[in-house]
Amino acid sequence: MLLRLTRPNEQPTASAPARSLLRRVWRHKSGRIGLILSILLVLLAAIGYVWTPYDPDLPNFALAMKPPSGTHLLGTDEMGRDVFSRIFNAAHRSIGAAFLVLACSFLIGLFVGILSGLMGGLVDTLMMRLVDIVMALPSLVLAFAILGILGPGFKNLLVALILSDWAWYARLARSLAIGSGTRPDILTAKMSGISFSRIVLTHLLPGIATKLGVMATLAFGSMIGAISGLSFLGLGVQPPHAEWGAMLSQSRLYFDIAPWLLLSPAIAILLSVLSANLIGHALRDVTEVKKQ
Amino acid sequence: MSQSIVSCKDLTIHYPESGAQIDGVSFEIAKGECFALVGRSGSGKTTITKALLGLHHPDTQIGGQILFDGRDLLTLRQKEWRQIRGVEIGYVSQNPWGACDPRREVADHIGQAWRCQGKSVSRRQIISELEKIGVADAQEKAGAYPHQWSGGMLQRASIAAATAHTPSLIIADEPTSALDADLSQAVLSSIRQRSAAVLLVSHDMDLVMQNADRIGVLHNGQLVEVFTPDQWQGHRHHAVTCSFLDALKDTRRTTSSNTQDPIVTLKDASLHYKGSREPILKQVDLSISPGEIIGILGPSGSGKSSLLKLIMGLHECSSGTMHKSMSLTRPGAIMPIFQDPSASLPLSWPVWRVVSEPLTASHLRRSSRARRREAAREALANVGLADLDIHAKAWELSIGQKQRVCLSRLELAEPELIVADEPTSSLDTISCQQVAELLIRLAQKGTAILVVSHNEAFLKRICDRRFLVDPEHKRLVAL
Repeated sequence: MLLRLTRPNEQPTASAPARSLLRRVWRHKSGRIGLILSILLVLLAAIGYVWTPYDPDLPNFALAMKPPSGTHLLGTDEMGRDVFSRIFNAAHRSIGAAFLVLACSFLIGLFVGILSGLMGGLVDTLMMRLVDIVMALPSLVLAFAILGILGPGFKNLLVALILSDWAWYARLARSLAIGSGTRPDILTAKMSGISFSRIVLTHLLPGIATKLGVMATLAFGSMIGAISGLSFLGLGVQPPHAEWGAMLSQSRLYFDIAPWLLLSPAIAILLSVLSANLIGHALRDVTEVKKQ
Repeated sequence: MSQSIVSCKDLTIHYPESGAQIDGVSFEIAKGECFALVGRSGSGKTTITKALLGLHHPDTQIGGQILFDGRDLLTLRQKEWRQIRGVEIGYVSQNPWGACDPRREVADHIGQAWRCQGKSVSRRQIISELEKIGVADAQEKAGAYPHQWSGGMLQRASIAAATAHTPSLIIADEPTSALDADLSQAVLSSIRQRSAAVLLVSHDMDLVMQNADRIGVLHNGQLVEVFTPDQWQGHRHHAVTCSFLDALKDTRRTTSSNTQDPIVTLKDASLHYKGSREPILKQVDLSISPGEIIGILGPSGSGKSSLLKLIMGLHECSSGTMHKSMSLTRPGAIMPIFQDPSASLPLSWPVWRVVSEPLTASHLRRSSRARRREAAREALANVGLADLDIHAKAWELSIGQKQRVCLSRLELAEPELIVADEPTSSLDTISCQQVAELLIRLAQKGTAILVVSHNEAFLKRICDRRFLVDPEHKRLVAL
């Protein structure tokens, strides 16, 4: 741990610069690796969105199933499309979708959880029973059912995943918010006449948001898996568009004759999950304040 | 002096991550002697006891020599240590509940002292050990679980376990910090009875002065002074020793005859928990005037905190009346202080933001950050933290500093009444003293203060009037 530890008898005289969360993650060893990796991935996704060496969606059957070479770095798939371009082009879809779903679930969960933890009573009961219902069903099955109603498509996939995922965040946020009315710091703020909304924003929200943030970054991997899984079933990204999970599932058929097809999306998924998990762990380490 | 049992020469202990902890400490403990180590939290007391028990991590660099009964402890291997710990050196920990597995009977814990040495022990023997150390109806209590024991009794049981093999040295690390004054004395006497020599680590000066034969004062990892209790007056002492000895002096202020109208009056008030019929407290008659410090003493769970909540307006009285003066209706007029300063501060905030938080109250005009920092600086200077960096994060402070930061924050709210719930229970003697002085200063400026504590000495020192909660009759009795 590179985090500076407190020693109780030490007078903190050395000026401690205002250290932002990002900076503390950067100081953390695995956090730094994760950040570098994720910046690279986001950069690749951004480039892949506007430019790829070949058209990622245009088939060219004359070039089908070519192994990696100088012209096609990662070879070509069963329709003769350049795998490198497809991996490149799919990055914004896979990473972006996972990010979007997690961010929305995070925000909905934060709002619902804090509201229900603070208000208690009927609001709490109703919200938490709804959460119970959502959590009782396996999230992929629930997403499957929602997609069945909404019909297949990328946007619907995102909606379905958000609807099946937010409840976990709401439950955690509620458990952190409940009973906070008697917390000494909040009680002191209340007694000195600070408004309710300000107390929630300054005392309650930051602590809960970082804990939920850790949970969200650690869930990144399974989210990419879920998107890939649903795309594989034909409910998510529609052909001919590229998506890592969909590419992985298609290449499965040709594994014995064209193993490179399987390897490249697998490594892409691995790297993005790894970077998210490294950041998640670093975030968890640096936000845990050492109590004496 | 008779033959020494422990002789520590030039002991230095370095922790690899955080640097020097103990820097050239030498002392001797004679047979039959009680040597006390005092010092503020973090001064290295526990580090020394850990070295004497061989409990440091292998990475810790330990230099010098510790001779115990002629053997150098620092050269022992783990196997040899096992023959010493519990057999020749007994250890009594700070928190008796922490030292016991909550799911095992107390008899089991005491029997462990034999079993871990590969010896068998009968239940009758355990019970007789308990009886010897003054546990009434030991037969019955031996089969009970730690949570069913009181702190003082459980601490005695752990002393029985620590002294099972009549060790020649007992190390007692703050053995009484979880107990109140009467019990502390009894527990310490039973430690002394059962061992040839005692190394007592404590920050309770009253206790140390009464019991120790010699007192060593630790400061920043150095032994700055060793003296005997009868030398405490008339000698020139090191500055750190003086600050400890000051805590012994009576700093009670002269009580001014209070003629001002009370700001809070409770008449025949009773308190209930929601949905419960049994009252927590009943027939409370209490009036608090400006500038007055009122102390409430009582065992835990006796309803002291509920009384504070009633006055803070977080509870209602179920019968009787509470009258508050008009001046208490504004926000910030009644301010609380709590037991655990770490929980009372948003730990990730910089200090200036914590201290100046009352200025952001909605009834006040918005003040700029520069103005808030300035106010924080002034308020911190008032509590003796003038050279504290206001941009330091709250979690970087020591526990005593945190409590003083809480006090400076409270001052900015300009309260008429302060309700303090065990404000010193997590602090060491010197921090405790500082908090006492600050509360007295606030009272002199006209703030009324209601303090709840189980530290009788502290209340005696600062309060004008004291009350005791009688848990049997659930009433407040004036002392």
